[in-house]
Amino acid sequence: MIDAAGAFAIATFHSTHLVLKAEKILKEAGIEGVRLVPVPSQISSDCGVTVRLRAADVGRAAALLQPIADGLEGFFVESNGGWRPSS
Amino acid sequence: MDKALKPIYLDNGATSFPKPPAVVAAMSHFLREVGGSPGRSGHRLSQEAARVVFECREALAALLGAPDSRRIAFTLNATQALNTAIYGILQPGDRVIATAMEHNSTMRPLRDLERRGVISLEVLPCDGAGRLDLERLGAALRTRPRLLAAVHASNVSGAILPLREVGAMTRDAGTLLLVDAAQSAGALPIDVEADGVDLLAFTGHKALFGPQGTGGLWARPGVEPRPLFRGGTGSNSELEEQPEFWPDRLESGTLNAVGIAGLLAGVSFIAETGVAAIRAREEALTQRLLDGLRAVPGLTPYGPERAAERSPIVSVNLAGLVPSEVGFLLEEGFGVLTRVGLHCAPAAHRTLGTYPQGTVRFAPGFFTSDADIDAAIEGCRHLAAKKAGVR
Repeated sequence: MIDAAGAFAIATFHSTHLVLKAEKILKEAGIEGVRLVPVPSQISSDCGVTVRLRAADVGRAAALLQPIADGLEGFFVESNGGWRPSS
Repeated sequence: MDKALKPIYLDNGATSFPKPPAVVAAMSHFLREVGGSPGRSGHRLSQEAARVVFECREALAALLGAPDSRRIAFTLNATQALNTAIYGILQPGDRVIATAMEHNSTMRPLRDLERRGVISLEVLPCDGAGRLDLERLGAALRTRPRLLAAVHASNVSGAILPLREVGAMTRDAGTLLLVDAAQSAGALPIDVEADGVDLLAFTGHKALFGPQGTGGLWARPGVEPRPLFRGGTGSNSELEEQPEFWPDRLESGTLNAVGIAGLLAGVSFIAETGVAAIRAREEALTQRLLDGLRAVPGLTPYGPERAAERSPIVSVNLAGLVPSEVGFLLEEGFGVLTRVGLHCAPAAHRTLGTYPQGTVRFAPGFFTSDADIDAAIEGCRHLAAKKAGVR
């Protein structure tokens, strides 16, 4: 069982372009552990990738990603082997 | 032709050559080491390919003053971008104005829509050098047409459109401004925001130093062209409808990622060198060419007087010789490679008085040397003297 601080979150976007834009914004802001991972099938049947980060960084990431919020579908936090929408 | 004769490439208006070595290296690297399909799979090589495409979009947005790189959709060339803009924006009953210097990539789609009764079209005459008369433009804009199609730099006369002035005029009139930047993107400063552009079509393989098969369309938010074709985008895969969001709405099918890798290297070269430095060098080459050619007896140069008023293009004719002969003899005798004929813009040639025979077009580029220019001038002088001797 991973505690909240060690859990992962993902942010999903409309397009691959925005996934990469988000990765760039988060990395440039110094957020650690950001990487691209395949989109979990529970969340989307899209064939592409998405951004994974630490669940503890979701709040900060949401603020940083404000400029592309129109293309942000949502944050999902790892929970019991699945993903639940971040509140 | 003497096989030892070194080719002197003065056809950069058709496509730039040579490319910066980094362009070749980037494409080779992509094919050998990257090779994945951008935005289609989750694995490392697909991600790497997607990153190349993303970085190229970002670099282009920075170069063109576009605040949001999402609004740049890649196309195969400026032609596809112009067709997307024209067919994707215009609606039945729209009135459109175009300058007399437009390339067939603009005129053929517009004439097609006009012939089918979808739009009405007015072509604004230009002066003998290919410059748009801004008073006439102002009068045409008073009727509030839907769109103005204007080429930023003529591929025939080299005449440069005063983009910022024109953009201010179309903005005031509430007319959309579609700019054909095929010759100018990379060669002249462009700032889509400050210049008041609504749609900008560019190619990758000319002044942006990328390979053929690259280009793009930028559009201001709120200006939303319908796609020319629809298909897989790697996004919204559960839906059988085309996504509305950029760039996916206009990018169906696998992108030319290897080409875009080369284009990224080309745009990076421009960013490192500076558009101002590239412009200064090309302007100096063009002035040298103009000065030398004007001294050749029987040679008529077309277009604006000074290099400062034109893109690096000089179209000419030699008395007593047709353009195809001049082009052939320049290559045979001097290794000078030019483009001859009508350059896909018949109205532009009517404006310059060079229809239907066309012109011989010299188009130096950033990698052209002074010696290359001098060889072209010497070639023309030789042909002129020979022609005079025959007479």
